[in-house]
Amino acid sequence: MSRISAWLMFTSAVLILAIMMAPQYSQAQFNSTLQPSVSRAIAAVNNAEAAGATTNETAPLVAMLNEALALNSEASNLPPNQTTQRNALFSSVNQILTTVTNQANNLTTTSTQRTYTNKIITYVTGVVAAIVGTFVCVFGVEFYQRYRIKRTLQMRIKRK
Amino acid sequence: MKFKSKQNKRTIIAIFIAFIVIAETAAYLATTPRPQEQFFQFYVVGANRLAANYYPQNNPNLRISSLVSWYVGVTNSMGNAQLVEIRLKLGNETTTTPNDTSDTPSSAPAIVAFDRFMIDNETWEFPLAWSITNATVTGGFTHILTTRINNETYEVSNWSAINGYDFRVILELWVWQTNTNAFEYGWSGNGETRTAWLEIWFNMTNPGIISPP
Repeated sequence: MSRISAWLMFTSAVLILAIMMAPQYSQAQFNSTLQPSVSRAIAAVNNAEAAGATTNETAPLVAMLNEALALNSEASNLPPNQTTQRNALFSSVNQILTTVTNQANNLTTTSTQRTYTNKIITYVTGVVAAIVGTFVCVFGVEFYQRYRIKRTLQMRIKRK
Repeated sequence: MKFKSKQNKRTIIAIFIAFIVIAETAAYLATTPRPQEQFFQFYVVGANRLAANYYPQNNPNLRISSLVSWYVGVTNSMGNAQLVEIRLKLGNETTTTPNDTSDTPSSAPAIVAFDRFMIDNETWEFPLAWSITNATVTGGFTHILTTRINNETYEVSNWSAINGYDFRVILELWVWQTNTNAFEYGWSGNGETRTAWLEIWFNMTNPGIISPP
């Protein structure tokens, strides 16, 4: 038993030493509760892009995400005793992420509709262009033939 | 227009079909997004935004408080928005570099990380000004104790080199993965995993401090 406790004490001491020896690691990582929200926000923006949203439409959302990133960094850099302020900042980050997700979802809906409409318009334009092309082709040949006949009939024989 | 014969009708239908095939093919090509290569560009340049003069007076043998100014840049060509992170690591001659075959990062600990959400085709470039602010020389080893990066001081440990030769700064590109909710080294695109990292070597053979007896 004493062996086990000695082993545990040694392990704990090594762990504490390792933690203390570790270099200052300044990464403004999102805390574990925010990580799924970050992924949801990115996935929503990516869905909007896949649905046909332009860079101009997604740029404001990405700017908001960068704002959330700055707030997260600010919260991470606060001294450990400022828990209230940190929680308030994390709450703001979460709120921004939720807003971005909602706006991106709305953008996905409008982009999908717009892309669908554009596709229909393009394909219908193709059919119209085919009809117009056919008529131009047929009438063009007919008019040319009539012109040639007319010219032939208008010919006069002149004595040399 | 009167269709004079069955032959004429057939000709017109054939022309229409030919036109519709051409027009609808054009419509399909116009509305279908082309597959594009997905990648990031990652670079570090010197103070003049050139791949030269990375160190003051172009001398990679640094002293205490020698200010090194670089610009680090990333271009997102993934075709969609991405959250990227650049991790700055400090190493020496024996530090393992990132492995491009197994796609594993360097084993050196990260000192600082820079994060940013990027839209497609965006280039994010930021200044990286750093200096060594404290170092000791003991037993033929130069130990770097503190470094200042973009006006923030960071304590470092286990960063030493024999006679101050072959220190290095390693920069790695990490990308947020939505399926794991975490940053991962490299990125997946076009069915393969790719990584990007940079390293720049320097020496500190004469830090400008008096070595202890």
